[in-house]
Amino acid sequence: MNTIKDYIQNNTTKAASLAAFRILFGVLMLTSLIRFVAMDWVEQLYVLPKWHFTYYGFAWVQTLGMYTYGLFALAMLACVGIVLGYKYRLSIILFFLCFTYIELIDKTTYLNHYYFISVLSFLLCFLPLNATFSLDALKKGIQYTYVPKWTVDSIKLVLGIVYFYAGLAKLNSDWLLRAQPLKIWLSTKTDLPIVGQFMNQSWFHYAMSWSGALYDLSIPFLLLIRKTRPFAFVAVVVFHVFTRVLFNIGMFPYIMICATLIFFDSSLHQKLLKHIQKTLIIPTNVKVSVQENYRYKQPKNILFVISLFLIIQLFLPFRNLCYPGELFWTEQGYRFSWRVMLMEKAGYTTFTVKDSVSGKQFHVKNSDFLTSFQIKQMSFQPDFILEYAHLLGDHFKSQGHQNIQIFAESYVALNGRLNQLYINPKVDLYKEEEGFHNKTWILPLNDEIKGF
Amino acid sequence: MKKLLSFIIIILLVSSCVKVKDRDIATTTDNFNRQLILNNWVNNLVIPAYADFKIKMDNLKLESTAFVNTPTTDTQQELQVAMFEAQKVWQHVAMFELQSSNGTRIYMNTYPIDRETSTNPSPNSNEDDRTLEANLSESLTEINNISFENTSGTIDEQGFPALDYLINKENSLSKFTDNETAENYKTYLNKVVDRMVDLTNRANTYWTTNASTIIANSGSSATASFDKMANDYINYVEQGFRENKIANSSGKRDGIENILAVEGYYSSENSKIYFNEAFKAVKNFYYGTSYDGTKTNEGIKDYLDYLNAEVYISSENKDVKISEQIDAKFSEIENTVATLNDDFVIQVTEDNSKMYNAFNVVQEYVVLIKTNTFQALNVKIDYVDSDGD
Repeated sequence: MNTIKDYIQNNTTKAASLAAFRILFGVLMLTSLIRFVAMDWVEQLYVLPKWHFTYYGFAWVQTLGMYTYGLFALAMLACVGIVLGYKYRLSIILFFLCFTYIELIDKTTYLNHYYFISVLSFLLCFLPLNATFSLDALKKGIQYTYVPKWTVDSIKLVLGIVYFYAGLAKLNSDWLLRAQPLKIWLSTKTDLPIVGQFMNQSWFHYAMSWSGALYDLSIPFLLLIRKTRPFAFVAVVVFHVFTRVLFNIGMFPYIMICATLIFFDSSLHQKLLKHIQKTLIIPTNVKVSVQENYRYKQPKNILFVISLFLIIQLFLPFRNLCYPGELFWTEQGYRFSWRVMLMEKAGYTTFTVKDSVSGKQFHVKNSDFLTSFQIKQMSFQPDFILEYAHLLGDHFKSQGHQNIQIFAESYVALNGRLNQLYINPKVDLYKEEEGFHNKTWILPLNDEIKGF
Repeated sequence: MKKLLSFIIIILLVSSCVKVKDRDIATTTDNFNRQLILNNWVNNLVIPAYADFKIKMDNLKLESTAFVNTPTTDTQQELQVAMFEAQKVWQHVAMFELQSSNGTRIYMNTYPIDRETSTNPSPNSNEDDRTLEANLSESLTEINNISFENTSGTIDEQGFPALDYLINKENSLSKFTDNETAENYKTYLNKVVDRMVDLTNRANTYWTTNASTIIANSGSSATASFDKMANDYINYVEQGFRENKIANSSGKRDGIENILAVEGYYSSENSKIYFNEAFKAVKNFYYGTSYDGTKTNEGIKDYLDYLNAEVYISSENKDVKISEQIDAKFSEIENTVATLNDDFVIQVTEDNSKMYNAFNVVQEYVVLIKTNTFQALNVKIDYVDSDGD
């Protein structure tokens, strides 16, 4: 107990580490947001769709239509505040809220790396990233040289969880013994320079699968150990650049490469700050009193929140253990658990609306209600299928139909298996409710995937 | 540490270059798959089919002018034959929709006439020929003022179904000879045929002038030609082939048999011929067989085999080639359709369950393409190139 107390109260590290992290984070987030708007995704993902798929418990998060652009503008403004360290606490909270709100509008766009940004920015709300090299410090006239070591370590822990859990999730028979889904994904990439020739070869699929799992599991530790750190960082860069070339994963590789810099010694971060100072010609002779240690005003509350948050982060990814059935198939407990690039899943799902009394029925044309991206995502994820069934039911009810029943005809193919029937076609989905309980209307996968 | 920083920067720069380079290469030296397939599709399937369709449509125009000038049993028969020939070739171009964002197919061949087109409760329940008949009984000026260009409203009062109604319906000749109706019918017929000729010419010109651009756009993205044509193809198999030719008339979706929804209802003795022509086109696209049937070059099948694309069948614990699965689906469709009457109106009326069987085997093909096949070929089925994980 005493060592923990000692660690929390007395262990410190250079505040420069947090400042460097703050600037990199702010710049990358700003770039990501600008890219998102420039690609016209705000329009296509948040403005144009008639209906949105909501997260359980967050149905109140609605699209703001054209005003979603305002939300992006606000988040960008917050990024500027973060980079400058100007009203940092307000900026990071604003960023966290705007970003998370945007993500919650429609789960069609769910990506683990968006979730990572929400998790990280939540944590950053509680850390003194503006302790030094910030406008806040300049305004207050005080900058701190040291911050509690746990502040930097908590960032490392979150990153470590992402990697290690992603590695754990790869320890399954599909990934290791069938080299799926990499086999499917890599096979069509034969046109790449140099590596293209290997893309359609079995040994290469296995080599990539195994080294990917090994990388994810070991990288947090290799980054922690001083001796292996430079080697580990080269591995980080090579790995992420390679995934960037192979897959359409946007800003994520750059974000991870920059984030892992936090593992380095603070001298690197100081050099980075100096470099920024030199290139931007920021005067060094401003009057700021330098103090040794940053101290929290209410350390107990902050520590409680952060500890609770980290404990949730440690256990949430294992919630799939509460459900029977194949995780990749039913996806119960799949999101928010760092299961990255584990599945190639495609579905074909259509709906029939039936009047239970008269027996009259008709077929739904999905494109009348959903965008092609939404149809694609809906077709293989049970919670989407259920929510869509309810949206359809409510829609036709409002048109004056009665005794509505909704049935799905759904086929899904997972990781190179032949497609099979996915949803029990005899179950009236309009009667089924979303919740944390097991979804009994998902038909079982005709196979077993062993491992995590 | 400085070294490390410059190392990062160099790597990041290189990586962004690699990405750009990779895009270039995807559009120039993709040496097997997409470019060759596109070349084959465009030059051996689309363009010859459209060229032939244009010949048939020009002939249709000639015969219809002759019929309008002197409506007799002979000129009517010749027009009917011209229409039949055109509609047969139509089956080979129906799936190609790059030329128009609003679609050519819906204007050319939406049937039954006067059909509700959006998701509509029991859409078949109140279909009849009333709107078309109402059009025909309007004044000449009003007929001339009807616009066929709207996306909704008039799509099912033009094209082959309207033509079929005008010239193949019982006693239709008398409508063209009877003084009370002749002017209106002649005007409407001219309007319908001119519109079809116009659509044909537009599509034909589009494909011949844009062929090289379409083939050159051979990358892999939501806007690449391969992905777009593959999506148009499967949309056609679903909507134009499965729903329109089988599901609607048999009432597979709503449980209500509707013989009016058979393709070419007023000349339904040809309905199976149209189906089989369309089925041939569906296979040609997959195998890469040319429109005239003389040669088979690169198609989806070759691509699948080149990729060694297999599916795992857990019950048998073995991997099976996707192309073999598809071969099997095609022969199932062939065998099932062989049991159908040449006239789908008779088939629906006498033994509708066989229509259901036909639906089921086509459905299996659709599912196999939309799941396993498109996965293996990395075909983007949405139109937003958003990020993945």
